Amino acid sequence: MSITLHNRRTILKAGTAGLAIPMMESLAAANAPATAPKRFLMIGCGYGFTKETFFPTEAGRFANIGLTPGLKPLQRHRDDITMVSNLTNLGATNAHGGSTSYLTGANVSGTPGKKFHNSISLDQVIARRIGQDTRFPTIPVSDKDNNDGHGPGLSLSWSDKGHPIPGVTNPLDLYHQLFGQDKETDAEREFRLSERRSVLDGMVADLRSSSRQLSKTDQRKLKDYLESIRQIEQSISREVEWANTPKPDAPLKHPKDTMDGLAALKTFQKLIVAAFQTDSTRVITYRQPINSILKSWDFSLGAHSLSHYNLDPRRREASQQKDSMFMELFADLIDLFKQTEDIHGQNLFESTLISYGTNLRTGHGLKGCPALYAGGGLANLKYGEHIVLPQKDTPLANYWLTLVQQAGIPLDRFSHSTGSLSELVS
Amino acid sequence: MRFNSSSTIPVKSGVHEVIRNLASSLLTVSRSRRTPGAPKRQQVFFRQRFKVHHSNTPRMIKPVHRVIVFSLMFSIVGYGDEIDHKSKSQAIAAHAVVLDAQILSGFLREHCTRCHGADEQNGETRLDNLTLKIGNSDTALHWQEVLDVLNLGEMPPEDEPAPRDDQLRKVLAHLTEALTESKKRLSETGGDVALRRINRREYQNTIDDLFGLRVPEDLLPPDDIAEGYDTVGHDQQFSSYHFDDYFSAAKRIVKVALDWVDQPREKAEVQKSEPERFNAKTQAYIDDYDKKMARIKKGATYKDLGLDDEKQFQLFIKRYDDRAGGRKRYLEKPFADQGVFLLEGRNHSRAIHTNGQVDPRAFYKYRVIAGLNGSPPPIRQFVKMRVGERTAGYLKIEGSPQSPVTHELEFRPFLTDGRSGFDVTESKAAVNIKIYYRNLREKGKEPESAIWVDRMEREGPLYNQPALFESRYMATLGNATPETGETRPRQKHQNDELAVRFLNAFMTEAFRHRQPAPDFALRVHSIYKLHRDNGRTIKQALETPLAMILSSPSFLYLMENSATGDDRSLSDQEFANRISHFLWSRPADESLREAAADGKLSDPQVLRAHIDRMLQSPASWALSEGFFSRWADVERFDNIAIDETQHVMFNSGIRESARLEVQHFFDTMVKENLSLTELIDSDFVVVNDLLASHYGLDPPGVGAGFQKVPLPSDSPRGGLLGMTAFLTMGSNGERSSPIIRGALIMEKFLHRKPSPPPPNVPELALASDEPLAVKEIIDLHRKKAQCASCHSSFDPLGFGLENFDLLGQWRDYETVGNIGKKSGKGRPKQIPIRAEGVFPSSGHSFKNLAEFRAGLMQERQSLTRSITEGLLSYGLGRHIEFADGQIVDEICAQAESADLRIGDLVFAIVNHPVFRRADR
Repeated sequence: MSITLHNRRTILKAGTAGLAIPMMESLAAANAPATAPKRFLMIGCGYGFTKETFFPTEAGRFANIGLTPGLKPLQRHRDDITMVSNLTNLGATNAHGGSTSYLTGANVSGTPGKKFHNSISLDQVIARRIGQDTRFPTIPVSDKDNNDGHGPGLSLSWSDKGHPIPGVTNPLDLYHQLFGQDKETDAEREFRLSERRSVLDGMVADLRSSSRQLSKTDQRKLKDYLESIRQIEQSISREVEWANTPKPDAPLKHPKDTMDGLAALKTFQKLIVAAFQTDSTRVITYRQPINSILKSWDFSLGAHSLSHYNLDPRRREASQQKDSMFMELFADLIDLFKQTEDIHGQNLFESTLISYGTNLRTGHGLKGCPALYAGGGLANLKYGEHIVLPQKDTPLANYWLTLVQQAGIPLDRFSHSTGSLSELVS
Repeated sequence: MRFNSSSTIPVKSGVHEVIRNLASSLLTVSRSRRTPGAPKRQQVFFRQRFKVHHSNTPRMIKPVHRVIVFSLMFSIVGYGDEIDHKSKSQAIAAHAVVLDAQILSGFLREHCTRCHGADEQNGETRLDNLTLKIGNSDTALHWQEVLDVLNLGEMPPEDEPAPRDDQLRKVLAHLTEALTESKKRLSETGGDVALRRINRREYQNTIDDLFGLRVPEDLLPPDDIAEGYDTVGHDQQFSSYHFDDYFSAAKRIVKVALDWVDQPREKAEVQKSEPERFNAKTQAYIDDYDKKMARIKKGATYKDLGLDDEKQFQLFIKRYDDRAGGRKRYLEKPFADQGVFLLEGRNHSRAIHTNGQVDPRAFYKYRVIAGLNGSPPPIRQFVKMRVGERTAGYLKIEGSPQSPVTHELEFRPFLTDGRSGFDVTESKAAVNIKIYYRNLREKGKEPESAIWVDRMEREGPLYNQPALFESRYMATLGNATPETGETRPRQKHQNDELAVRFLNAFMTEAFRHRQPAPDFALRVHSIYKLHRDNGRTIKQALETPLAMILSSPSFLYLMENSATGDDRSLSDQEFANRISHFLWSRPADESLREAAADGKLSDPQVLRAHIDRMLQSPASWALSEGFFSRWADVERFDNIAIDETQHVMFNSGIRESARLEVQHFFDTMVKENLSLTELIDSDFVVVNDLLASHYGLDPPGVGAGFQKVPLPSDSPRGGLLGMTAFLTMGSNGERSSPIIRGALIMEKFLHRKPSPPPPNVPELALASDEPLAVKEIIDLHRKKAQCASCHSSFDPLGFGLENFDLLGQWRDYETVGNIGKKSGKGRPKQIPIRAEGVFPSSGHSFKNLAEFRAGLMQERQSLTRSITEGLLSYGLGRHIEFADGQIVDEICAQAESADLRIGDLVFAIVNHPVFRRADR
């Protein structure tokens, strides 16, 4: 069904020339990588939303169908955001964890021989392709609280081995990472790095000789350690590469050392924009806190209690309020992007694809997860609509694949994807 | 794949295919064309299992306990009948869960297979030929899909006859339980003890042994996110972030250790702080205000006073009585000139502290000389003592301003603490003092101070024995020639030789007496030399080499050599370290090492004597901290937020004490070798003053410390069931939750862990605006088969504890409704508590707490198994798997013959061959 529709539209748009080429190729050709840098921001919000008031039911342009009460705060960005319905992160089974496999699509707890399994996250996949041009291939930003409906993990990002990658949790640390100027001289740095290499050599020596006496399984286990040493060696090489490029001037003030949840979130939003603006990185993930924000807003209930909002009308009201307030913060973030230009003079919103969502729809439900995207200025991606996919439980990985492909990154498949979603493309 | 979907997308590229790929865990961005990847991976995994079972596991006899535990709902296939007539690749199905055809067939035939059978396959789904044996993830996921659509009520479709409720409930319960069990089985690894990294607690203890320094937990990378205990290595990971964190933690430790290693030990001193010295400041404030007011009288304007505008000027005048007047009245109070009244929100009586550099090798005694102001209610008689940013303890204040009393506690600083003052505040709920007061029902009164502090003191530094690091250092580098610019190369060379000797000695200790690899030692020495050649001092040059030792695999991992020969035993030294990490979370001490070196640990009597000695030692606290708090899931308690504005009887002191109570209780059981049944009921509690007051018992008068206190015969307390931490984690933070309590009891005491809350089950919604009693809310669960299938087994257990409220305090009535609403719908009502319920397996009912306890006592063999499996898993550092059934049986039998005493159980575990088994 959907395929036919898409074809018809392609034909209308492209005229007869489009007919000669098979569909997928025609799309790929239309989206050959642009010269301007592409940037990605993926936000994971843990628990889901109030199902009665957040999710639109009707498909169509928001200009026609209007925004639900939960999405209302995004009114000023109505034509720039898209919501996609009927997506499910297949394999996700954690009713209290919307983030563990959000960007990986892994079958976390159903993998034979393992109590816990994860795989590489989307941001790391993207960074492998576009991360070489910036000081930081990716920056995972995270929260300290693990009780926010995110599930196991340290951020949304996971390494190619499926290991959790820790995120920056303090705005000040991110500020230093991005803009802090080190006071080292060249000679000092050289000594430090060569010392570090010798230290790592020592570790490898210990590893080699100790592991000879171990059982085969234990030897395999130590490979993790060896791998980590290799990665550090690589990061030393990267540090050497960037050693002579000074860090950019900070486009914002030095943040305070301690702040409450809401202030930290707002500062992170500014820092994320600043990181893109200065082209320090092109890929950021943000595992957004809930509990600390609720605390700043004087909610007496925690994130988990709010996710069970149907037990009490007061809770439901609070849950709806929470939805709107988070969407207001999201709207503010979009404002920031729209108001900012990158170092090439390009509008940041037009060059950054922003996605917002989680595995959890509402309460404990994992089917039909919320998925919002905005920005990126991609010619063929639909904006300003609520798109209802024809197939219930369409793999979330298909959504990721589509977004990434549309942004001009060549990728045939991602995680458990079965293909890209033509419904998102005009 | 939706069963009713009329999709045109063929199933092969649809959800099932996706799920199959997913299960293989191979798909990431792999562009590999090797399809299907799944079987290959699975074969590897299955081969391992096959080998293990074949080589060392005796033919499984169906363990009786197990069959009871899984309530005979699905049968268990022993491996024997598999291997005889099935191919090798299917030997993996050794522990497959087999669904009960009797429960399912009829249901499927009646409700499913007409549309999803041999003739029709709506939605490309066929159920009549689905295998009942869940031996791999594919089958598990197939059945999970079936369960999901039934849970969501999507199937059967509306125009088909609905299944009977009891029938549906049975099917749901069966599928849920079987799938949970199969998931567990499928994740099994075959009983190998995987190489493991020391956890945070072990790292802290090891550093304490080596350096005599206290490491704050947050200096170390967090322990992994696997299920089970923090000693289980199988799911541990190591990434570059770990290395960086360990290396920088080690640098920090080493730097402090080297800074202090040759500092003389100072004589203890008592520093005193008289808080009334702040009165001068208060007086100066009053004088300043008075002066300004006098100038205003003479016509001064806002500009003259340096204020911004007229508005501020008016405010300044208006606030005179509150600001200066309040302070004046304070200073006029009797005893204000000799001490300080603790009062929140009044600057003149808040901060009292003494500053001073602390010696990280030492501990200090902190004292507060204070008394009660009049007779405040019991909850207001406690102070919180903080040293730097850390809470040092909570003390009950005795005495009065007329005759103040000295209260004391000991505190050992962390190596990162540096200079740190200490201060004292009232221990109270985190709520404005006026509200706090109002909720304590002393309405209308001006908030008054409950505690008067005369003086604060710090005594120290007080030292224990020098640590290994220090003694090794002094034995070698203590003899080094002091170096100046003119030191001759020969002397420098001699010093360096001493340094190398020191490094070698330290390395052996740090590696738990395993010989360091010569290659590694050489590199450690060469980095030392590199720094020396760059003109660094001996101490500076030692930093990186020492940090290297503490970040190396030989330090961070508990290395055990692979088994050689037929007996598959660990070496004596490794055995000693395994025991010591089990009981103490630290390396073996000299005495145990010597016994191991002499080969004496194979003598059960010697072994028993060492176990007893170790359990008696204060170091066995680690077992309570590492094993028991995890077994009891105390982390859940940490995660329950209590709104202190609503519940002023709760505060951080009660939280901290309640958390510690769980560990202290178990510690007492360990030290006194008590029976496991004490967890169900005991005639004592182990509490501090604060908790005693929370429980309405007489405070034992031990300050911040914990003590065993006998209970009056009519007390409802006793065992884990009466502890605030346990009861509060059985709540949602607002009210008690019999659901959570029931699930906890089922898991801990009946050793039947309920399936985790399933995803994709519709939420319960309230049909009425009228507030409901907890029991009514829970009864809603039984109306829906989707909920009842699990909840009917454990919800009724939770009611046994309903007489304990959210905070673990006793109640005979429950208040339902909106507090503050005076009349009409939703006004508060008092409903009597009925602690009635039924045990799921026996069907025995109970009518009150005592009968509930008696019922649990009847089923104590389940508790024994639950603790035994927990201890075994914790001690071995691996998950307990299906194939371990017989080992657990044997250990339980021994424990039972020793009246379930904990020390005997621990000995039975350590003395069992499984505890000495090495991997190949």
